[in-house]
Amino acid sequence: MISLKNVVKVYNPKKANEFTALKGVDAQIEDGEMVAIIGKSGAGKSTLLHILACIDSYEEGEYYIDDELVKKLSEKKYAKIRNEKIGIVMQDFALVEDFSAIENVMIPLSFSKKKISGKKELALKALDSVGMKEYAKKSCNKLSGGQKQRVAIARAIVNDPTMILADEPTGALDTKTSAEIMELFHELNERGKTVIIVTHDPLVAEQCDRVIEISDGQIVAS
Amino acid sequence: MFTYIKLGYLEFVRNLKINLLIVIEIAAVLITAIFTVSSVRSQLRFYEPLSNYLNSKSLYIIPETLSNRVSYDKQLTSYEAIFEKIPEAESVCAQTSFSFNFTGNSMNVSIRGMGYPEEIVEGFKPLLEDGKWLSEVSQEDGVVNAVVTENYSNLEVGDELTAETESGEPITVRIVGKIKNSAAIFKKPSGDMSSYKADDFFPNYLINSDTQNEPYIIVAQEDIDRCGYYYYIDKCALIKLDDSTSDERVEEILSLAMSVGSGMNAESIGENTMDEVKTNLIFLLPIVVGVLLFTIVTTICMSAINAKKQLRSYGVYYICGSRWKQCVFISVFSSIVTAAIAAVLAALALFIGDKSGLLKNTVIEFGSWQLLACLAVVVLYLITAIIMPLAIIGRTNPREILKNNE
Repeated sequence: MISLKNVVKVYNPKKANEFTALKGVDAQIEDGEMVAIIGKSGAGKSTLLHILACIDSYEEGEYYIDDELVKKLSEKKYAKIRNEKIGIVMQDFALVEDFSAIENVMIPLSFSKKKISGKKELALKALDSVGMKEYAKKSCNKLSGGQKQRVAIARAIVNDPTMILADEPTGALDTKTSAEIMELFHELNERGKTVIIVTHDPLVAEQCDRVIEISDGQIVAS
Repeated sequence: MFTYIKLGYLEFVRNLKINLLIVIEIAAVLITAIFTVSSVRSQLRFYEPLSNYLNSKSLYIIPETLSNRVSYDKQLTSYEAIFEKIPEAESVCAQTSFSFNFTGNSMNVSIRGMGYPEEIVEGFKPLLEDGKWLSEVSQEDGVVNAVVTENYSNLEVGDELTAETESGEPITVRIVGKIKNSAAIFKKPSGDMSSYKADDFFPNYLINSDTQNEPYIIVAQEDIDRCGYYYYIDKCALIKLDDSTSDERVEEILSLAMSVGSGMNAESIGENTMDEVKTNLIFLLPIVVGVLLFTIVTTICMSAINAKKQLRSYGVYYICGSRWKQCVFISVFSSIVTAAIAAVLAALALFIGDKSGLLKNTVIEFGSWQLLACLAVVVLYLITAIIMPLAIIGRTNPREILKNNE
């Protein structure tokens, strides 16, 4: 379960350009839920996602992942959480373009502190689950947008995290490809993964179990 | 850490074109470092074995042996005579001449013997065509190790000659090394004494029928003493005097030396040598500094460009579970790969130069000093190669990297 209690995020604290992006956010996401976070541009969606993904810290409040408080941890601990508990999918795919699909998928396995045998097989399995096994050795800069996003999803799930965070995953894709990607997220959710999608697209939001609306740094609907 | 090493290698491959240019640049700097150190070392090579004499209170004497000019009891043509007549003498470094008492089949061998003092045996190694130098071979009872120059007796490495000591004991003279023809050997210098430098005591010695230079068989002076052979100092002796010897007494000793030959203060030899070393360094220094500065600047620029290019990849590694600041190790290992390939390339170039004969008549060699210089270049390169990645990664937030790329 993911729990946010009165989370406050301030950029440039005590400076002239101080800005409060999140003003006391409370939210609870149960295991296995598929949740959309929607809001206008600048509402604080990405900031919230970055905190959930342990990419950014927060000033006040509490954030729990499976009853474990994620606050003011060491960089090592944050890295471990990002590697083991969270799979991140970005709008621009966030792939190393010169690497092949399988090399990209193996990146989280390389950073894992656990002893993993058969990394290549695990990566191939993840690619297979998103329908990209035959493109394993292809360089990512030669894949289409939809294919790249599938590879990104395969990378996000290769370490079997409990939570998938996606920041505008269909933002750079056409309608047909977007639908295919959303179908993948549904499949992952059916397998028990908690899926949280930040989006400004209402069509994406309505495919989720629940919608959290954020406006001006606060949750206005959940 | 292995992950960062692997990613560092992959980063090197991803920027192959630029990195190959850096490899060539670093290889060129390594070769420059080897050339520079070899050049300086070649001058110090002859200075070092004699340094004890050339930078202290010492004399260089050319003692005469002609008995019609100097009576035997006054001659300074043996170590014993010098120590006896010059009580202030602490040590003597002299090239001596002697003859072996060859026996049996070896009696046909006609070659002049030359004795080297310990300072020369241990501190100087001539270029060898074959075999080993005297200091590289262990002593054996009943065996005298010897090194020959090019010779007319067809003496080669491995040959063993039969001889006997002055008291009639049989000995074996084993040829352990052969000096390259025209290589430098320790021998009395020629020319104007006032301009003597250390390398004048190591003339290039070419043996052929056109020159007056005869072949030599060289042994350690202590072996000559062991065999009890008669020897004489062949017009070349450096004498180190006690530091407390007064200037007046030094003049007296010099007068004594000049009464039985000629002589001079050895300090001026040391000064002439160091003056030449400094002159050459002054010539080399701007080149070395220029090359190093160019390398530092280009390394900083290229590593900054590479680090900026890699930031996005570091952002990807970060969301996959890497720590942000540890991404600098990827740059470090990429630079290590660059340095390693550059070292291999430089070694290959020198190897080809050596085998093809291009380096044959040069002073270029690879020893511990050259290795140290290369290590210093590599360390300097690695330090400059991580300055910019450290700064760029340290000043950047991964969140901004990921945000900027959306």
